[in-house]
Amino acid sequence: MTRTPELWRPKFHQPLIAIGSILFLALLWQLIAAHEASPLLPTPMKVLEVLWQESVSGRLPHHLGMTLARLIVSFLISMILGTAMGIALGRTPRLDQFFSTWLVIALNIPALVTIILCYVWFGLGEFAAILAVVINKLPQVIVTVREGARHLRQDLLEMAEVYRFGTFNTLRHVLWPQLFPYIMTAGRTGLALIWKIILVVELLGRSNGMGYQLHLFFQTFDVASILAYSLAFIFIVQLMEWTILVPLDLKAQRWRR
Amino acid sequence: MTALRIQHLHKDHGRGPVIADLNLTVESGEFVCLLGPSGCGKTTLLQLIAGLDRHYSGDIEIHQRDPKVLRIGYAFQEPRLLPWRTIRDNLRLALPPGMDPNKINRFIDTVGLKEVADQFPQTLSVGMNRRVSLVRAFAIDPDLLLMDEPLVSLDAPTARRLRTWLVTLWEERPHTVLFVTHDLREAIEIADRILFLSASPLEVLADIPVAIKREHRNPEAIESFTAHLKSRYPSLNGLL
Repeated sequence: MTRTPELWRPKFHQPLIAIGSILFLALLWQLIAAHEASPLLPTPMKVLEVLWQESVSGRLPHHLGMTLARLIVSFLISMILGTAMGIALGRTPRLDQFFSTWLVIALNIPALVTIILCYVWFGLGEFAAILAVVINKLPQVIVTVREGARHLRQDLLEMAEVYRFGTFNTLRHVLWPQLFPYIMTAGRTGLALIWKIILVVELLGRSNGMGYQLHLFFQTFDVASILAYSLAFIFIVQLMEWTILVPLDLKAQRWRR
Repeated sequence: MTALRIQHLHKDHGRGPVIADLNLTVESGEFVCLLGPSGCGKTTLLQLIAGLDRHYSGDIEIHQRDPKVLRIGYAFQEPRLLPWRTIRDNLRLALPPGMDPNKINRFIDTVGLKEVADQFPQTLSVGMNRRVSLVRAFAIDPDLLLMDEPLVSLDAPTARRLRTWLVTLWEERPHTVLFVTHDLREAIEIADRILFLSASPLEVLADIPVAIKREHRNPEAIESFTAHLKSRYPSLNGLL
């Protein structure tokens, strides 16, 4: 008797299962919404209709674009700064001892507090908005990358020194591949965290973006629009995962057996 | 010509001296084995010579052909290959600047690594990884080759095969070699000269040339040389 090889079975079935489960969820939603027949729980078709109208009118792309721009800028700033600081702390025990209490404090400040303080101190502007997101995200990146920098393989660093790799090659071929999984973890959790915080930032102090729009819809109890905007956002974030993060991960992991 | 000269070398980890007043010289093209009990400081000595640890007193002089850059080939106990780079990239990265990268491709072909050159270290056997690590040490055309028990903890047939291969590799490219081992038979089989070392602090107890032609170093010859050493140098009994 032949059996299906273990390796390709999940690969083949996974997309089918995912599509099936999404369709099932939509069906469930449709049934409940039809039963309730209330504007507070629109049907999936109604939401898709709003999504279409908002896209065509240009409102959704504009606000989504603003939020994405803020997301990308604050993500890049916190990743670059956090990685550099994480490496510095992970490789210099004295520095780490000194700043670790700062990190503990930073990790425990509620997001809302930093957002409010940034707006109070720096005004209701773009700078304060980005800064608030970065401050919320940065400690997490530092802590994750620091963990990676602490566990760098000394034996490979010695090898690189004996064979005179030089600073650039040591960074690129010895350090970077070891730090990469940690940076990816920081990036993944970071993206999830940032896009939740960024909506609050927009809600409190900006006049455009997803957070601002959701706030408007909340005031008119426009649930269909809230769901339409959320769907668009979920889709974009997943798209980033599939087109950027997953391929990066696969490329970096190909040396593993 | 002298390839390596060590004078009055002294090293202390803080708990008494590990190496005390060590003096030794190695001539260019010589294959010298350092034989001593485990933990006597042989690895420490190699690290000092390689410049990985600069906290010592005394002099370590290495003759370098290129005045700009000292080339040291180091085969560590573990292969220390970058697991995320292919065999070819691992070798290429070790080349000193200015050396023709195509050289590595020719080298890979001649030492029997052609089939595995584009694979990652983890997909290959332990023996093959050791082989790559030795090839890397030779590939840079080193002024001095340091080998720290590169054949330890391999199964006996693999170790034997690799030892023969290593000697051939060396005969084709006669570099100056300092080879650390705790296996006397291995030392007799491959060395021009054996330095018997004491446990800490590390000192040279005896400096004995292996006066057997390489092609005659069969198990019987090695056995009789061991017996000769035992009767001639009774003070080395602990090491024999």
